[in-house]
Amino acid sequence: MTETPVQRLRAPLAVLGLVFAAWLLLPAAARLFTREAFAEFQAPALGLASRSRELVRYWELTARGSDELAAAGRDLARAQAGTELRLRALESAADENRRLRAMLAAPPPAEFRTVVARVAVRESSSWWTRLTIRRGRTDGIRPGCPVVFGDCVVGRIAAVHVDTSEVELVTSPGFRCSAFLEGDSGNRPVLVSGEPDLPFTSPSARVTYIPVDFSPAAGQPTRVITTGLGGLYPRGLRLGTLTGELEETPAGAYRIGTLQPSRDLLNVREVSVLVPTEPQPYEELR
Amino acid sequence: MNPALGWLVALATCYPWLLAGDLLGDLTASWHLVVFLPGAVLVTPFLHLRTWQAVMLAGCVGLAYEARRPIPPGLFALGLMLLSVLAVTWRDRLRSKPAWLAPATLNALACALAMPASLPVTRTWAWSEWLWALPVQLLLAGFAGAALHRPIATFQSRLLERSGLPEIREP
Repeated sequence: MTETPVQRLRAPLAVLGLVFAAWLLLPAAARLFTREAFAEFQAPALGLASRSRELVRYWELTARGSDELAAAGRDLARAQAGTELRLRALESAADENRRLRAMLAAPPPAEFRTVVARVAVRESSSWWTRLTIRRGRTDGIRPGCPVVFGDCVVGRIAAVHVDTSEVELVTSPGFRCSAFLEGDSGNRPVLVSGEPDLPFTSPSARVTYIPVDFSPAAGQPTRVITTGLGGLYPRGLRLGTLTGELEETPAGAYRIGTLQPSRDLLNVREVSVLVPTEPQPYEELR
Repeated sequence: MNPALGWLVALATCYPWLLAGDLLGDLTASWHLVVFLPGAVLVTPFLHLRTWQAVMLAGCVGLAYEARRPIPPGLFALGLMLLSVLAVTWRDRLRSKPAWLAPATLNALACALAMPASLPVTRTWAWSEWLWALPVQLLLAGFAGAALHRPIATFQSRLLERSGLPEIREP
């Protein structure tokens, strides 16, 4: 006698029910271990794919002519001369800052160690916007560390594995950061939060709690910079620029705007992870 | 082939395609699109594996996919396991013509499980945005499953048959 589909389904569904119950009863640590094991299993292949891309790029660069290399070297030397001048100015500002802090008995600011990391793979949907970078726990990276490119915020470390880490981008739903608006004399903090990006649109985030009396300077975009509050991001990093019209909330308490990220986030190939030299309070909260 | 190892061989035939999906997704990231393949890679192994082996394989593919994404542990894997039970029960439908239909359907269904599975973590609750984003993503998943079904099926069935896992024919 042949079995009906319902009879055929009964045994597998019963087993699946048992698996489901076992998974629910499994300690959280065991579930996380399974997750970590599967992430580590994939890490070498991702690393290899990323290194292959770099090799292709390297071959492309070695194929360039000596004239082009000489011009690039000359431009680099000029840029370095300018950077050295700026570095001297910053050193004297840092000395002054230290003296003033000592006079006021202010606590020292958080210090960061920079870990430069190559992007292994990018993934972006309306549900998550992430990068996988080729640096992990062995390089001292910890969850929650800020990720920047130059002076622009890219996002923060969402998960760390042995040799890779996942970066949640500024535009990713779930990202939150306090910021100042350039030109706001009162330095009143606003909130930057990632929001789902629809397919075929450019990445953006939402800026809320913009004071009603704030008016952006005409003719130039308003830069949104980190406050340094909460200790996650150093003060003064660029999150992006305020674009479009500011909308007032129905109650009229504040206004809402759109943040255009500083860099083309989804094309970035190398980032810097700022690892605090001392553990920060936000790391314990995670 | 030891039946206990059959699903591991099948997993080894799936993983290169999952990696290929990740690398293709890297190219489409600028358009906020994910190249989703976990459903499409399961169709051929389902024709070669027993039910429990298929369930184990689906669980592993699900866990591998969600391991690097903001999906609560096990949520997508269990959904994929349920899908595998249903697919293997109606194995004859997987062989239906045209050949691209089963991978396209299974891939779109798996995608419909994976994307909302991230909601508890990402807290994306704007339903109006869903109405546009989810159908586009499902269409892309269906298209990817259909477009890649031939290379995936050829690669997997050759490897599985060489490993001593012939296609199962119901009486």
